Amino acid sequence: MVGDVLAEMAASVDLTIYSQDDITFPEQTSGAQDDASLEQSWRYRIESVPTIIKIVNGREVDRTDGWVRDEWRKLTELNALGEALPPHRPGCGSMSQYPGMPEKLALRYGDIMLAAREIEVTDDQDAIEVSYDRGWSDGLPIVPPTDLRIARMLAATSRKPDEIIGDIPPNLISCSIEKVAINAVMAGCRPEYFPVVLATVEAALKPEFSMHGLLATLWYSGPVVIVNGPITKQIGMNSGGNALGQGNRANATIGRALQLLIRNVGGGIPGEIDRSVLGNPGKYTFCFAEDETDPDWQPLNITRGARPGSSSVTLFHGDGVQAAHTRDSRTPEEVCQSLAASLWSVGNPKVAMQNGAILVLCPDHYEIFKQAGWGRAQIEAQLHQALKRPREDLLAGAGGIAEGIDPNITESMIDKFNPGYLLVVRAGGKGGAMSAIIGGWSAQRRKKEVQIVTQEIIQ
Amino acid sequence: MAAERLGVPAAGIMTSQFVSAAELMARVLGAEGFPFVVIEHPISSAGSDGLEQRARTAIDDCARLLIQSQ
Repeated sequence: MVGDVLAEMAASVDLTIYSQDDITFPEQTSGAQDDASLEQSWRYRIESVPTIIKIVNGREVDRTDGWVRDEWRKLTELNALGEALPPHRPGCGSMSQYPGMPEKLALRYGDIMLAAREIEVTDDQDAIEVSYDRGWSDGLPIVPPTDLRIARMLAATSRKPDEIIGDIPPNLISCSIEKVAINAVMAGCRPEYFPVVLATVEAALKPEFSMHGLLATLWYSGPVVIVNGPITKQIGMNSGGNALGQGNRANATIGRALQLLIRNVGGGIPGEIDRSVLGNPGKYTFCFAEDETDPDWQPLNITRGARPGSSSVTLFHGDGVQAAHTRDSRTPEEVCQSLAASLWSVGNPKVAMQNGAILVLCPDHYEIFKQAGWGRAQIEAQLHQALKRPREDLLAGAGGIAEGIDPNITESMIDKFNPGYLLVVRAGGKGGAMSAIIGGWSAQRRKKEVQIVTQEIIQ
Repeated sequence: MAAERLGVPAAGIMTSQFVSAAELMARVLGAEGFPFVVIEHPISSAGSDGLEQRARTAIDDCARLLIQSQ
């Protein structure tokens, strides 16, 4: 039926018809121009078919899609157009909008220009093995960063591929959004994770985070990424059971993307500039979301000054995971004392105000606090009190342990952590009073040069 | 390196564990081959006597770096 309408239009106006799949249609006008390549559909940003575009002096002045008789009549100035047809019929989705197709077309027809040098992989080569041979891997296979995968990653941000996000240590190599996208692809990220990756990189590059020092240290630490806000649900992050473990793609790949970027752009290679004596498994990747299901709980990012409702990453210089299990504690005071005792072992139980820590509060511990009416502020205040120890117990040699605090410290009771260097975060599954401690880098004692950083995620 | 670029004579000191890192940073900062003094690793657990011994061994090397033309 629409063929008659198009024929009617062709008789009155200068009409060019493009077809995505059938150049013989409409027969009344001897067919259409072939747009099987979808080039014209992409160039004209067609979202559904049919779309009628009115061009005057080479410029688009009006368009309509689907069949809406009044709109077609207005656009063509043919007042009797389509009299025999119903007043309106919806269109169909344009093939140029099928999943993945916009990025393919943008690459093919010039909207996305990649600056990275292309590496040819021949048919007799395995792209993953080529990546290993070129030193792009952290030891695990990487996803080959094809143009299309990079374009799909870049489509998840409005930032331009050539925008410079910063200099990546240790080699201080200027890093574009495109390079971040390439490493996010290699890490296995889905495009919707990309805003989180970008915020993570920006946080790591803040001078006060001291990414260079964290990379070069002998200590165990690497960057730990804690994600807060609505984006954690949108991209399916895990803040529940096994949140610090394997099995969730977003948790696994966001942290890995940062590490690969440091390696592949910055040149941060273990045994070279990375001098870590042992490292820790979190240096492959260490990223998790906070459990924000309880509206009574103030999320970490809000505590650190983020806007309510916003999403953020918080970067911490962290070691591996240590248990903070309580078997017999029933009251909040007992739990607090027990957790504090475990926290004293961070770095060394005779050392104070040096390493920071993350206390990952599990649901069973949190429930005991909540039942007693304790929120974040009271938990933190009670922990602070429980974490004080007598000076004489901490002097070098006390308890038969050579390590000890600076003898010039004169206070009678000593804090384990400097203010702001104990983060309390909720995560985990129910069923066990099993919180976790992530010890911090010894250089966190330098409060000016080494800071925990929170960065908003811009979607 | 920053001090030298400002015209202030300076001597950098590295522990043996970080020699390759220091060489890399000199290269990254556009001063490949920038000389520095090397002392024994570690520092943080060296103790007062150990630190004094390291400092004494570094004095001559530092003086040489500070007064020689580079």
